[in-house]
Amino acid sequence: MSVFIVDDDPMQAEMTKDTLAKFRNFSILTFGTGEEALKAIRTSGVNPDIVVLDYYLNSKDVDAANGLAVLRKLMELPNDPFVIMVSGQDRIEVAVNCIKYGAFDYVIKNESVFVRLEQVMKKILKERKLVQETKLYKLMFRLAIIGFFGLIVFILYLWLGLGLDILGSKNLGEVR
Amino acid sequence: MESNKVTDLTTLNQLSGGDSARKEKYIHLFLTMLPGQLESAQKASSDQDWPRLKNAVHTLKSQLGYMGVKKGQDLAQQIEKMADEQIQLEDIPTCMNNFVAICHQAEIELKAEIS
Repeated sequence: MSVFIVDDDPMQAEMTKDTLAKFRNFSILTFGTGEEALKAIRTSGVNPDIVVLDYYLNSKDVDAANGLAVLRKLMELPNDPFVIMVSGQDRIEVAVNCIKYGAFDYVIKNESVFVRLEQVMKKILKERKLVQETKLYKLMFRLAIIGFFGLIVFILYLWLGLGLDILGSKNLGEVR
Repeated sequence: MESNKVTDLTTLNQLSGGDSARKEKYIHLFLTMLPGQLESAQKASSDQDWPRLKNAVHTLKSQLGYMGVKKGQDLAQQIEKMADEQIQLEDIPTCMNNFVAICHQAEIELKAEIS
């Protein structure tokens, strides 16, 4: 599973990476800006399954796109990823905006940030499993429907064939 | 003398899960970035470039929190708010001086921690 960490704070990014390293099968890439992450998606074709995205991404470059703008771009992708927004902001309107634009969850950068991040990650994995199972059940249901109608057609074919045979032999008898 | 410390490594110990190598790695990262970040914040403050000051102290705020520098974190939050809302701007230089002093104290304590 491909995971992108987008944070302009190298320490936060490293701590997040170490936290997520506990999850097996995670291939983690870190980016200092949203632009770098979006460019990697465009050029390398790697589509992240999960993105841990910082809300403020302009501590070094004031012109860098903020997390909300990056979130909106990520949501335009054909296979839009699960996005976890992280921020030092505990203002409710910031969290509401993130959810409004498609973030899966919002985590505040405080002492419990990494515990929360792990919990959200587990929630995503659970949801992802459910989505995959639903897709599988839908496929199985479609196959069952196709099979059922196929069987009906086959029975009809046999029945009609048999009917025609009987009819044919009757006709032959009449001719004789 | 212990009570005069500005750092409290309880949070960092929890975050590193008792792994001393991990803890040292985070302290190293913090100590490497601190001078540049402080310089950037001080320059923004003297230039009265409030958006840049807000961004500079914003990143430091989280990092100081992980290093258990509560006083520094509170001051960073206060400066961030003043710069963001452009209020009490005349208090910013004093707050910045206190903030820099706390950060330097934290730097000394953290260097001692990993030496």
